[in-house]
Amino acid sequence: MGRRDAPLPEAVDLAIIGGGVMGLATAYELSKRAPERRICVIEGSYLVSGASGRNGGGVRSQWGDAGNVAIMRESLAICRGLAQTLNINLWFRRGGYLFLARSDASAARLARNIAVHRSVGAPTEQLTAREAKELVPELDVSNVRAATFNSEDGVVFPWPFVWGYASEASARGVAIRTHTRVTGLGEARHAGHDGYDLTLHTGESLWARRVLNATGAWSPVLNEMLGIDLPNRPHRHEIISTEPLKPFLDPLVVDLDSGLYFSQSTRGEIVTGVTMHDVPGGEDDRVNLGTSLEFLERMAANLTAVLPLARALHPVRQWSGPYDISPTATPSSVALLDTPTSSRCVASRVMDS
Amino acid sequence: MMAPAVGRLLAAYLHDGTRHPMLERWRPERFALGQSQRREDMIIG
Repeated sequence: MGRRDAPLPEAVDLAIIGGGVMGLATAYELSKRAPERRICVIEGSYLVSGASGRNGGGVRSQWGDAGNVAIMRESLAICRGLAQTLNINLWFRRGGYLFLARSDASAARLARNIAVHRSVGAPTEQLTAREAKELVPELDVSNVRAATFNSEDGVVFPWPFVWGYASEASARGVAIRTHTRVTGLGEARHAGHDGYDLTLHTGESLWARRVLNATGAWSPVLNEMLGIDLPNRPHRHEIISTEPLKPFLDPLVVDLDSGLYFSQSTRGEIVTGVTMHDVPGGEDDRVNLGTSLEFLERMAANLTAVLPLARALHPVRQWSGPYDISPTATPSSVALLDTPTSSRCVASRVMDS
Repeated sequence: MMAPAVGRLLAAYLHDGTRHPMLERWRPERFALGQSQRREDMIIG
């Protein structure tokens, strides 16, 4: 897998910056299709140090956009066989996702989403409050107006995804360098080809014909080196895990009105978070991995309202991770810099906006 | 977690130029060109 002293070639066909699940999945998939390509992955810290190691591990098709639902159904299909493919236990638990709506507006969103999901074949079911309680008897559903459930959704332990992809990519010849920051990125020609020079904090440098900026919420730093200004910004999300309980909770439960979600890990912990629109310390555009008492208070108030038994639980660990959010909350494939010409084109068009 | 599927899409593009419709939708020019796109409103947590 990745090492801080992994040798890097002087020139590669593709340099992937960012050793999270996105970068490593791409490295693995490309190394399978094109074993002759020289590929390297450069991670500024350790594998799973970024958002890939800080999330709740949810894998769901219950989104609001049909394209996102379709992509997530593909991800779920891949996940079903990925443990065997990567030869690692991903702790994929297919307990489904249960969404609860406590307002008319949220109930309308769920009803609209069911139509979207069914249009692309996702088997999302509309449930009553009583049916939701039959799925999870410990819930307080007294104010629930509507619910949806998709049994295909589930939860994974996200770290083995990163390790599994890294291990298999490495076995196929991908160089994975950890603890190495890219401090310079600029256009350069090499052996008659357009491409990019990468300067590393170690004093090393290499040339890449293509660059994939897979650093997520940290991506504006690299984009800036090429004069690209995209409107994606980091948004801090906090999460806690509690002391363990005897297993009782199969689905991941979401309270749509508050943005609360919770699941039970294989160790029995309740893993939970809640939407914070006004993130404490989140005023600037930099990634902030702090935690806050405000989150703990909001999470506890919402969790105990939906899951009353949580009143007796103590948090054991609290951490945060960044979402990489665009104005439409959809990804940008600008991260893929085909050639300097295309990156300049993107840069000028975006910056002129 | 979209990465398993999106990793395949990106790898296919890098390998032979195959562009999945979602990669087209995610092109950053949409911000500069003012193309309207439905906001994904099911982001949780």
